[in-house]
Parts: sequence; C-alpha cells; structure tokens
Amino acid sequence: MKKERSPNIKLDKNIIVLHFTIVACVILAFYVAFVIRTTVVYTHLFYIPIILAGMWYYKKAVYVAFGLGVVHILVTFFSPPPLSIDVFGRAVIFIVVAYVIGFVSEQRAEGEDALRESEEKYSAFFKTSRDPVFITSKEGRGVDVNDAAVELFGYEDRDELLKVNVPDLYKNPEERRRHTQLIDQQGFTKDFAVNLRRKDGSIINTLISSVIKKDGNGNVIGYHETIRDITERKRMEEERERIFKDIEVKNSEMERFVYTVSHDLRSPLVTIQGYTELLRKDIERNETEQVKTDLKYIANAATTMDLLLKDTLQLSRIGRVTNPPEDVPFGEIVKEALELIAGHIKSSGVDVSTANDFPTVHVDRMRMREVLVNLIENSINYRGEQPSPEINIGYRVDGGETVFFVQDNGIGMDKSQHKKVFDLFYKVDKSSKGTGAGLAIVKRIIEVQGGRIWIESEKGKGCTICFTLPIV
Amino acid sequence: MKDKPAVTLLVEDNEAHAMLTMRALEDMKATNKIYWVSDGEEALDYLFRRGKYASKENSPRPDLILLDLQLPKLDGHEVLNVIKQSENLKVIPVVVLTTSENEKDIAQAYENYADSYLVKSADFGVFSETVRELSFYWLMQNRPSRERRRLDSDIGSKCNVKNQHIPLSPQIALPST
Repeated sequence: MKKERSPNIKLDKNIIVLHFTIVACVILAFYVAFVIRTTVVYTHLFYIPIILAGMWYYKKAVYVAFGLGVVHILVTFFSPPPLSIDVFGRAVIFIVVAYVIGFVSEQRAEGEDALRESEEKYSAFFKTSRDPVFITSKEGRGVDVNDAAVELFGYEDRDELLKVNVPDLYKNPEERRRHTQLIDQQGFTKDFAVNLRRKDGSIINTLISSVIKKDGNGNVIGYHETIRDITERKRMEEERERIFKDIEVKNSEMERFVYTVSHDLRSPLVTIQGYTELLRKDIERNETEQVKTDLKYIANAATTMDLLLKDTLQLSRIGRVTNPPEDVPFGEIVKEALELIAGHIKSSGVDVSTANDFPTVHVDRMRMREVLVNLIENSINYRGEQPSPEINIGYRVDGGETVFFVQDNGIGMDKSQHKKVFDLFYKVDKSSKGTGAGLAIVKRIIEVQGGRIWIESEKGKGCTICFTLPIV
Repeated sequence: MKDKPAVTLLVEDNEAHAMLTMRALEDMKATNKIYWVSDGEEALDYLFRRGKYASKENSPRPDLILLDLQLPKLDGHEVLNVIKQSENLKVIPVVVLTTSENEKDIAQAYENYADSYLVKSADFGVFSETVRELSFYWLMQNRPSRERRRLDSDIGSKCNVKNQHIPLSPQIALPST
C-alpha cells in the first residue's frame, strides 16, 4: 500500500539545499571540463545531491541521478578527455544508487508513518481518556500520566505527579511491591483493589488494571496501568450497609418496644377491668372494706398506666425531637445536673464528688443533663442501708476511649441484671417508685448521641454506670 | 380424694393481679391454699427451701404453680427452666399466667415444658373462669402420680440447681385467707 506523501513546509528547506547541491555539482562539472580542462575525478561529489534526494524524495532521486549522469556524459563528450565506457557506467551507477537509496528510504518512511500514526492515535486516547492512565517504569518511577490521573491524585500538573515515587502514591507503599509482583507473575492484573494517597493526603479506593511492558528481548521495562476510582461507590455501599444495619437494629428495638409496651400497658388494664367487675360484686354484697380495696387497685392501675404512657411518650421523643448537639465541657453539664437535684442530694445525705477537669463533649446538652440527673437519682435511690453513701462522677481513658462514669457505693446488682436494667419498664426492685423506664431513656439518649452505656457492678458492692460520648 | 388441702404457688409480681387471681380462686378456698411470691428468685427460694423458706412449714410442696413471665430479678422463663430441669420439681404442673400474647413467649414456655399457657384476659369474668377451671382441672381432676407426691419430704436437699440465689426483698408469702 503506497501513500503519496505531499511535500510539507519542512521540505522547502530541503528543496533549496538539493537544488543548491545539484547546481554546485553542474557548475563543478563545467568548471573541470572547460576551465581546468584536465581529468579530475569529481563525480563522487554527485552522490551528495543523489543521496539527499533519495533520503528526502525517495525514488524521485532517480531523476536527479539521470540528470547528473546526462550532464556528466555531455561535459565529458565536449571536453578534451575522451568519452569512455566508464562515463556511461558511472551514470548508470548514479541511477542505481539513487533508486536503492530512494527505495530504502521509502520503506523506512512508511514504517515510521505507521508508527507515528499509531502513536498519535494511542497518544490521543491516552491524553483524553477519562480513566486515569499511568505508565510506570519497573523501578517505580512514573514515565507518563494523563490529565485524568493528574486530576485523580490532585497534583498541579503532570510533571509534579511524575516526580513522586509510585510506591508513595499507595496508602501502604508495601502494597506496590505486591502489585508489581502479581503483574510480573501473570503479565497483567485486573481490578487490583488498592487504596491510593492523593496529594492532600486523602485516601481513595481504586481498582487498578495493568499490563506489563517488555522490550524486544522480553525484559520487563515497565507497566501500563489504568486506575478506576471507586471511592464514591464504596462509600455508598458502606452507607447502604450502615443504613441496613441501622434499620435492623431499629426494627428489633421497635419489636421489643411494642412487645414491652403492649404487655406493660395491658397489665393495668387487666387490673382495672378485673376490679371493676369485683367492685360490682362487692357493692351487691355490701362489702364496704372490699369496695375500698377494689377502688384503690383501680386508682393505682390508672396512675400506673398514666406514668407508663408518659414515659413511653418521652422515650419515643428522644429520637424524634433533638436539640442540635453543641460542644460543651462535660463538667458544666455535671454542675447543672447537680444544681437541679441539689435538694434531693442534700435530703438523702449522699456525698457527691466529681473529677476536676472533664473533656469537652459534642452532645445535646439538655438531654445529657437529663441523663446525669437520672443516673444520680438512681444512685441515691439504690443507696440501700449504706451508712455513708457516696457518688463519684468522673471519667477514665480505656484503650484510647474516654469512658464517663457515675459510681456509687449502694446496693449494686448481680451480673444477670446488668443488661435487663436497661429494658423498658424493668424494675430490679418492685417496691421502688417509678415505672422502670429511667435507664431505658438514659440508654436511648446516649445511643442517639452516638455513645454506648453499660454497667459494672456486683451485688452489695456498689454500682458504676459507664458511658461513652463523642469527644471534641 | 385428698387428706390435706392442695397447695398452689402463685408467682406474680403485680400485687393487684395476685389478689385478682386469689379472688378468682376464692370458691376453692377450703380445698386449696395459695402461697404468693413476687419475684423469680423468691419463687426458687420457696421451691428449694432456701433462706426464709428453709423450714417446711413455710413452704409446703405445691401441687400447682401459677407463673407470670415478666418478673423482676429472674424472669418466668428462667424460673420455669429451673423447675423443669429439677428431678424433684419437674412433675409439678406449671401454668404460665401472663399478659403476653407474644408467639416467642408462648413457644419458649412450651419448649421449657410448661403445662399450660394462659393469657390474662381483661374481661374478669373470663379471667376468673379460666383460672378457676384450670386450677380445678390440675388440682382436682387430673390425677398426679402418688409415687411422686411422696417425694415431697426432702426436695430442698437433693435438687441440683445451677443458679444459687439469695432472697433480696423481705416479701412474705401470703396464704389466701
């Protein structure tokens, strides 16, 4: 397949040079033949325009060779030295040389053209691809990158990115070795999952597909790598996962909630209806004392029901009605809570001590105050027969996590109760006041803030309620 | 049929419900003594004659146990499990008496060999009728093994129980009057 190569601007200079050398050769021939008039071998110089023409214009060099041959023959014919067969021989050699050089040059030019063309195509693809592409050397240097890669890594330009060692673009540079080993082994990688580091230090989740680049002798010289950024996809997947888990937890919470509420609300109803029936009977029988008892039970059940409903409502509000969280020194919340129930503390004779400095937390201030009031009151209510009841509010750092606690030296509780006390309407002691929703509410508040709560206690050895909160 | 009155152990944390149940069984007063305990631990103390129930006079072996599920300290399922794991106690019929209609509760109760599962009805007529009939059935009509009844004498010493609970609240078992 031959292609006509049209002369371009660059070739104009060549034409001038070529013409200049041809004219020089012709002048030289005339000068030797008619001025010096001796036999001087000058025809070697004719190869200059012939070779130039062959290189630049390929087989068209034959015309130049033919022309120069004719000139050589003519000047020899009209000049004193005799015309010999050698002269014709030389002219033929001119043509042969011109043809050979022209042919070879043309062949080479065709190959170069194809290469250039393919390189142009490839390079356009490389440059404009929206997939970040990286060409790296075996030694771990960047050889070339496209704009998409520069953008992906957040560098100013291509040169800045190429200055960085490839392993340093990995979150864990060791990963790079593992990756190249794998490419060396199988010749390519497909969707190799790796975390890369951007210029600003942020980490991106990517999949890299690479192919090995070898030289003619089969030695590895580098890699072509296409990077796919899946950070967003991964984030969304994780988000979805999280939401699913959240829903699951909420669902089982809801189930338990409905179960508890239906049971606990039903209980006073059974009482009310039962005693209403008994009341009717007792009135018929004129049993005044019994009537009084019946009415007491009915009234109590109605009160209980009212309290249960109030607490249920309060609990359901926690998730729905939230004050925006703010940065508050935890000590301030403790102080506020203690002020709120100063009366109760004083009358109960409990000695309250608090840590001196608390970390600052990011919480719903009002709700947290509610939590502390609740926990302190619990400690007061379960101080038992303790002659010198104490409450200690503080915090400790446990494995890098800040754990707040409200500790007392009251009656404490058995391990089997530790989880149950957080159940809605669960009461350790039937005779204590309240519905048993307090700790359920506390737990819910802590969890809504993003913390955890648990109990450390042994029967008779006091009780420590621990919780975590988002720390600023 | 009986030489001494039958004994029913009522495990119920809600005082009003306990009284209600006792009133429902009023008609059987002459032939049935009811002992009331108000939490799971106390129930086991009674059954295994521990703590304040150590003496046999305070804790006659029940012929029927009416058991609520929502109990403080040790819930009804756990109490039921302990009873049915005990060689000596497992023959005593246990009727679960609860407000819970939850399928899980029902399934778990029967898995632990509850003998009946009765949901407390808001309708007192229905409630007392059911309690009465059930007690009547288990105490009067159903014929328990005489052999087993004789084992009564020393339940406390022989039983093999995992949980060792000490009574917490000073609740006294109220025999129905």
